[in-house]
Amino acid sequence: MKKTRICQLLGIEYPIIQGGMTLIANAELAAAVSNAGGLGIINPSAGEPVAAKIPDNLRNQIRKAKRLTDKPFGVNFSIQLIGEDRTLIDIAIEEGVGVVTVGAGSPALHTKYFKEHGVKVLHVLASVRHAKRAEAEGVDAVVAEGYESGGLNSPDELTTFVLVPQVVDAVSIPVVAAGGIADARGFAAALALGAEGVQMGTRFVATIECIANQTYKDAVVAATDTGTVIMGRRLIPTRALKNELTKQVLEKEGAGASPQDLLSVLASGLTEAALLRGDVVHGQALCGAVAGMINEIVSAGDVVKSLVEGYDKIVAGLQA
Amino acid sequence: MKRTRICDLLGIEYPIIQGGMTWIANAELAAAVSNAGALGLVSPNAGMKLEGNVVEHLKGEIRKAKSLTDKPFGVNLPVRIPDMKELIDVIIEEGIKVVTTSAGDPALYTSLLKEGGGKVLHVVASVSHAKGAERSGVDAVIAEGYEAGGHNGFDELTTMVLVPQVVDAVDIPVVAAGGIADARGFAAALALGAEGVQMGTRFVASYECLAHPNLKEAIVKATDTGTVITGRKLGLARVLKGEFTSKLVEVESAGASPEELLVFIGIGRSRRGELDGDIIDGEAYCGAVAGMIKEIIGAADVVKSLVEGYSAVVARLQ
Repeated sequence: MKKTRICQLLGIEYPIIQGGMTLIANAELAAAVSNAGGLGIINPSAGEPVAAKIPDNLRNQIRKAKRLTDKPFGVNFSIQLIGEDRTLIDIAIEEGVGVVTVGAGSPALHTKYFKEHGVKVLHVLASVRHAKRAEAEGVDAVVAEGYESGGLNSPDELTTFVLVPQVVDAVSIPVVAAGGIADARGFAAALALGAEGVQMGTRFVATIECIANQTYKDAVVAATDTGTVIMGRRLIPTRALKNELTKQVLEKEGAGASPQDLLSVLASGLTEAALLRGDVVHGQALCGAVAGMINEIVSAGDVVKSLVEGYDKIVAGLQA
Repeated sequence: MKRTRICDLLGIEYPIIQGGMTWIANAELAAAVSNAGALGLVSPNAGMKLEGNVVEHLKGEIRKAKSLTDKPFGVNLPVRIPDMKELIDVIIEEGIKVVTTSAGDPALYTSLLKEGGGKVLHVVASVSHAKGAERSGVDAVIAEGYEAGGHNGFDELTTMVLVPQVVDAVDIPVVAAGGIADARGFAAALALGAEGVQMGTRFVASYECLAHPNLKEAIVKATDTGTVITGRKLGLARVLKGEFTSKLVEVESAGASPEELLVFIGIGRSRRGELDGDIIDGEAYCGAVAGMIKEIIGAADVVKSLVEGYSAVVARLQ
């Protein structure tokens, strides 16, 4: 398949990035994706919910990934979690990580610092205004993440289909599409919309290498087209598998509950309960709207391969 | 560009369908789209007064469209509107060969329409509804994503995730709708497995559409964040953000009951927004794609830009 500016920027063969999912984007997964020619991403909290242990965890994860691959891989940082603190960022830089994806916050905080240390920055965003701002701050590329994506979501609710072309028109740097992509059809569609790469999270959760709890992976595979829902519209919209928790939150929201009332239901540790311990009934099982298209657990390398091989067939089909 | 089963089914050159928007899918618009090689749709209520006779009105619109084109065009019927039987009689008498049905059970009228010799395309927003429509004997489904203007499915499935899953679930052809306004969206929809696209909002901002100029201007001015979903407790509708819709969203999130909301909304809001051009106190249905529409052009130029752009987009993908 064709090479895009994302391939050149990141030094990878195929413009496919694995999302840096909180708690479950582990070294084995990232290395497998990178070895397959895509870009794997580590999350500092992979397998480690205890905040105080996250710095050591990040260093260990990076070192493990380096043992497993000699290809480039990256680290994901959530501004919402790290704020202005550069402890984790400095660890990534010390360990020689060359690429980061940064989301859930302003690109003004750390972009310059990353660039001074030779690190490529991809900023995750969900509107045209934020894309222009990220470009002005000097990021190397943007990840335009649609309403379909699992986990934290934007109140603007722009879907991949409408977000990607508008971001492409608004900035000159390359755009990666995220949200709602799990197979070669979505990959080709994203590139038709003008993206130069894709990022997938949920598809990589249902892989052999991902550290996520087996019960949670099975729930992703079992989900149908209507299996996820957005909750927390008055706090931070979050997409998760439908379960007892989402039902309870949505009932409260429908009755006009205040953000404080909602926080009383959304205790901390619910995401960890679902993703790491497999409590998919009462936990917060973050998941993309694309879950209904994921029907088996495969290896991360095979995910990359199926997208690449399928792409050429789809493009040929569009010409016939 | 390539032909798909939708072209053959409908007897059209390009697999592009103009949405049958309730108040504003008029004969002139439908005819212009059909003359350009796509499929125009007429709505029974297009331009009608609130208290008008919808059956007579539809007959008038069909005859006007016939006088403007000798190409196929269709009629859109929301299944739950009153006078459905009489409207179908008019459609059959007037020799209309394509009907899109929406917002209701396809089992109710599909066989009647097919006996009259027409093709039926049913609008769906989930896999289970698509399978149900196929079982009811429709000729194709229109998989309409969360991006679409106006009425919307509770499941909030977007075009990106809905279309491939519907394609996998049925054997009949699938038309993608919601979020499409240019050749990039057209090619992307076909990459997802659709065999055609339906566009509403892009055609509202065309010369031939009956929509009030205020609405057309508002669409052109809208940015990426210009629309919002209302009615999570009643029935979802995507509308342009405006003074009235902002108030509505506030009332909803304060926990208003469905009954209170119905009183708050009142009668004829969308007609007021779309035909009278009262975009402050009215309600104007509008797709999430509004931010991509930068100018009012001829409906035929919309079709032409998609067809010409398609080949360029596909060439870029190689």
